[in-house]
Amino acid sequence: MQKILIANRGEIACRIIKTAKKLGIKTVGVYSDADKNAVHTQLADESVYIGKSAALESYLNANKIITIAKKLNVDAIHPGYGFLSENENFAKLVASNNLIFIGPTAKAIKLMGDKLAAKKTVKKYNIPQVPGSEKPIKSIEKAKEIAKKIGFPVLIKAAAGGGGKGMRIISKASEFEVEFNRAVSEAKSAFGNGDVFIEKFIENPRHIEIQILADNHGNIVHLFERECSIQRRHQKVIEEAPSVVLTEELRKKMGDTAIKVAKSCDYTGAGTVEFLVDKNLDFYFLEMNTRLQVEHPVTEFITQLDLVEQQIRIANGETLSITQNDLKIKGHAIELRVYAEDSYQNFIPSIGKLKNYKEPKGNGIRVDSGVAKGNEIPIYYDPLLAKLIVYDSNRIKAIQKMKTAIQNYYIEGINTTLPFGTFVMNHEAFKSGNFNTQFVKLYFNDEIIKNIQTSEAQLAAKLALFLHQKEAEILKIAKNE
Amino acid sequence: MLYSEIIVNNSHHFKSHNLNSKDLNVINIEKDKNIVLYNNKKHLVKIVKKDFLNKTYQLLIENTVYEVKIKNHIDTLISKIGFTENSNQNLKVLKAPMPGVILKILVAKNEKIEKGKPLVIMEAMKMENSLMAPKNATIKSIEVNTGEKVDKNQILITFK
Repeated sequence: MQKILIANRGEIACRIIKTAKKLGIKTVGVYSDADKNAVHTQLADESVYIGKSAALESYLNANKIITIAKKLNVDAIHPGYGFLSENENFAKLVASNNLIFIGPTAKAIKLMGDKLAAKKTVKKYNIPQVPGSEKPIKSIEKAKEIAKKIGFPVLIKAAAGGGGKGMRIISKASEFEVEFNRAVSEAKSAFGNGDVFIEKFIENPRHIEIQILADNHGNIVHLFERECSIQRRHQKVIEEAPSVVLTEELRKKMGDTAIKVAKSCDYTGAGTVEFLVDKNLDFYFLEMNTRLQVEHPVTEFITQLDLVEQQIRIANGETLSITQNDLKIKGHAIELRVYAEDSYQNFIPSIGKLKNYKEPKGNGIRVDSGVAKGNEIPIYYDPLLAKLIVYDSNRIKAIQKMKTAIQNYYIEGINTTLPFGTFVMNHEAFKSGNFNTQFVKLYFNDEIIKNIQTSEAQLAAKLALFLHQKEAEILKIAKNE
Repeated sequence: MLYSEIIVNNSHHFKSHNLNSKDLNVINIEKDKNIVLYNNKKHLVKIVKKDFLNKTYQLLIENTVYEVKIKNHIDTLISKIGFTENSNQNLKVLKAPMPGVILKILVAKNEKIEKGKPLVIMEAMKMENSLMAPKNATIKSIEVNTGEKVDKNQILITFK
């Protein structure tokens, strides 16, 4: 493999370019109007303009990306995450143009992309699953019947779903009358597919996932877990590895289960099997993400592997150089996603210009970013600016390091999730490890936010007064002289 | 009693006599960067902007920017007279809001000025007050000299 095209932008494009450079592989970047001055546009060996700012006209334009790849004699395409990374048609198109897709086969993407198909596929391998319907539910009567069997509360979910769209929690039969049709129409408009199914609703679960690597020669290993329960709007903000609740025994059990899920769809490459874990530490298969995850750096820290390098080697046909026995967890890593969002205003997007931008540095501090001072944050894409990842010998030290790193992260011009990161690192529930996906709802409520802001505002007022009085004194002295 | 009002982010209001800085320990570590111990808790504070004349400060505390505006009792008086940034666009002159002495004139004839720019510094009741441009304008004339005593409502500057 001599040259790869990265069909992505932002921090992940930069991240992939870094490893490609390390491996001596040439890189081709693509960019839209909004990204003319972006970091990834400058970082790649060659960068090609692909269209207007809207993703549909640029980063989602599969044909254009293939044309560029052919023209520049590219050997392989890395899709990153998001955009075309889980698009089976794109994977097919890449292969039919005699290019290598750095990721799984189109077949695996298709199987795991449809949630009902995925459930059916893994069932043959006795994977624990949340009880529910195996087929799309077409009527309210049928929905009620199944809900009665598995017990309320239940969840209506879109078969083609993701990101919380088309999801409804139903706590009693009568609620189906309204909610069922709403879920169907929401699923139809979001995914072009109105199929919904029903699952038992697991209350206050943890979200724990297992990273796997599979080569084209039948070897599969798991790289342990990532704890991803700190979420807002069903999306992760803070991830860590290892998880405080997993015993060696449970870790092995979940790891083996993840490997079975990978086998069930003949998976190749790097993938992630997501589980819900309830308060009794029973775990259930949720879905498989057939791509590199945003939070992969925490796994890289604790395994000392470069996952992008592994992806490239696997795509190149190499055999995995590691076995399960070689793998040991070393230390503790935490990631904070630095989103351009206002922590104190319900995480609403904060757009604008990065008037000043300085990343923290130090041993065990890693920042994966795709922005620089002076950049406008485009409104067209995901608001992820950067990921701050810290690593230390144990969790307590890693939390301490994260707090210091956040303090030394200097961003001026837009609001970010950094203050939320500080809040979480200081919170008793997080420190003790006793938390679940309800963390934000339970602890980061309006009243607490108001208290933090009032207290910080008071400090600001005191400091300003202090500074002002100090300056006034200097002026007075000057006047007397 | 004389006190200042301190407004943070246009939403939090404090009175200066309620804000003593005894529980504050400010350790300057480098230019505009301080470690502040507040109730014994450590905060890293960066001074983003300080404007003594306009009495406005921008501080970065725990990754959040706080805009602080200090208004002393005379500013409050001024704002009661209606001589604030919301002033009428038709204003043709800058008048002295109170009797006092002109300490400094910060603009020149024909100078183009922006709303909010300090024009004159007046001393009144042993305190310095900066009088700001009520609107974007050009200076037509300056009617007073440095050191001059002025009466309330005396015209200091005229605008074109």
